[in-house]
Amino acid sequence: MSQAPSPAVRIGGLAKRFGEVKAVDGVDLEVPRGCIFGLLGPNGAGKTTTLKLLLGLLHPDAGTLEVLGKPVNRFTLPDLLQRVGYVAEGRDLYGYMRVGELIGFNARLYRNWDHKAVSRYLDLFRLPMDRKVEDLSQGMKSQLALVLALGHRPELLVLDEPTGGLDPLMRREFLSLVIEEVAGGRTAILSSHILHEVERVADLVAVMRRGRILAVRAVEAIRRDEKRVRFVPQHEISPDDLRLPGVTGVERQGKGFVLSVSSDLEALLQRLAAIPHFVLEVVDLNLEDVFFDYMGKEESTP
Amino acid sequence: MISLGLVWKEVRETRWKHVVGFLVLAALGVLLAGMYRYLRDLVGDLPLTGELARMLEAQLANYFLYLWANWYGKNLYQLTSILAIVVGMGLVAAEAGNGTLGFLLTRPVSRAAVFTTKYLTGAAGLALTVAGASVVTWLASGAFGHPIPAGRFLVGIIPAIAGTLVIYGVAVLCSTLSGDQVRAGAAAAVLAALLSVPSWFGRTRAFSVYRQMQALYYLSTGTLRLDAVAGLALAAAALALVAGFIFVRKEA
Repeated sequence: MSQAPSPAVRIGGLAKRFGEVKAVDGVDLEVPRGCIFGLLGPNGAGKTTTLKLLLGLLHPDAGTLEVLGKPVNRFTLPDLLQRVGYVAEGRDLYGYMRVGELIGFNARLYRNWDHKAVSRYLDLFRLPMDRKVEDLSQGMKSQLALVLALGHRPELLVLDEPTGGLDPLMRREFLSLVIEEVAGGRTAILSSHILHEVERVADLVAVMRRGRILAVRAVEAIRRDEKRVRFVPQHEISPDDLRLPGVTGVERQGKGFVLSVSSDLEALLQRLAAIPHFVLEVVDLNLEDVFFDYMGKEESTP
Repeated sequence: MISLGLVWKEVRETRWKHVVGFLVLAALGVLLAGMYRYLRDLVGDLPLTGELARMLEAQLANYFLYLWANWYGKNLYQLTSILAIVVGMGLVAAEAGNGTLGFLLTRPVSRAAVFTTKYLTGAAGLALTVAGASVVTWLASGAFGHPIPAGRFLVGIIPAIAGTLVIYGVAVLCSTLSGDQVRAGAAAAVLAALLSVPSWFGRTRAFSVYRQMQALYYLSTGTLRLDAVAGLALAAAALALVAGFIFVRKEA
């Protein structure tokens, strides 16, 4: 992954309220260029609001937004949107148009519309040009939305729950195309509930809850560093004795403990091995486990 | 300020409203021209007396007076007001309602250009409908044996279009403020009805949009009131500007 001079997205102190509800509450975030960035969070976490703010569909109450090195405002948006592709959560396409008409309509709005690439995507997804959009299945609509988002060769692709309604095969084809495009030097932000899908494709993930970013981690680092250690000592010890460097959580289970570990595993294992014990084992975590860990921690935060 | 790429979409979305509006108006214009002789004979045969008889005889004694009173003075402004509401109410609210506004606003077109294109496409459609139907009415007059100098009759198109754009502006404003085109249409209809209130009183009659659309001053004096046309155009422009200002700041 090569680091470009300015990140694809830079967000500082972003806030947005809807009445009494803080939809986005002081978000700071940087999305490096050339990666797939997963945005995770439960419903109402503020993911869609953040993405809409990024695209100028909503206006922030506070904070700064930069996309591809330019501030987001109504003067810069038309040019920025020439360089950004967006697949919205609801796939709100013009249902009365035929697929070919909708593509033609989009092509007229972009300076760099790539007819060849669009033909290739249409073949890949087997989308019928003469079918009305409203007659397409939900999955085909999602595929068409991706084709429309990619047709102008965007530098940044913003995908808000793009695979909802897709069967596993369609989802795989869809994400393979996203991976292929990012490998070609683009950046993608992928908001999704489907954690294993994000884990498969994303380089970095941010976890959102209640309008705030709880953590930003590299998926590779999660795979490498995030572990659980099951430890059953021979003698009674206090959980506080186990709050060692790298340990992010200690949970008692019967006579033993489960430690959540996010770094310094080797050092921790050496220290634990020095304590007389019956069981000392390491369990690998996936993104879903880590996500629920974050959700659990946040839940217990007053 | 206009996106040519968007014009195609806007025309495609509103074309049937304009086509149906034009066909209804054109049919009415042809009917008015064709019915004249029949009505004149009918009124002559009826045993009418008093004020009603005098009014009907006065109107039917002169074809130009009859046609103006029934075209610009009645049917055209009433029907185009309804058409203006139908076209204007969906301009923004329909996109907001069916969820396509977000798609549209993430295309690389400034919001000002989106609004201007939408507004002007609708306005041009209305203007063409009014002008086209009036031309058909004028042609039908000649075809039924009542030729009128084109300029003398078709000058009424100018205040009719200006007034139609005021009603359209009201509907567009309601459409921009509401996310539901039915509500926008209902609000626009109420406001359009309120605009008729000034015509009920002698002192305020000159400020009535509908009164000025009929250009009755031209009918009685042969002079078109350009100040009235300018007033209507200014009101239409002001409404469009306010709606555009709101649209540019709208969240989707």
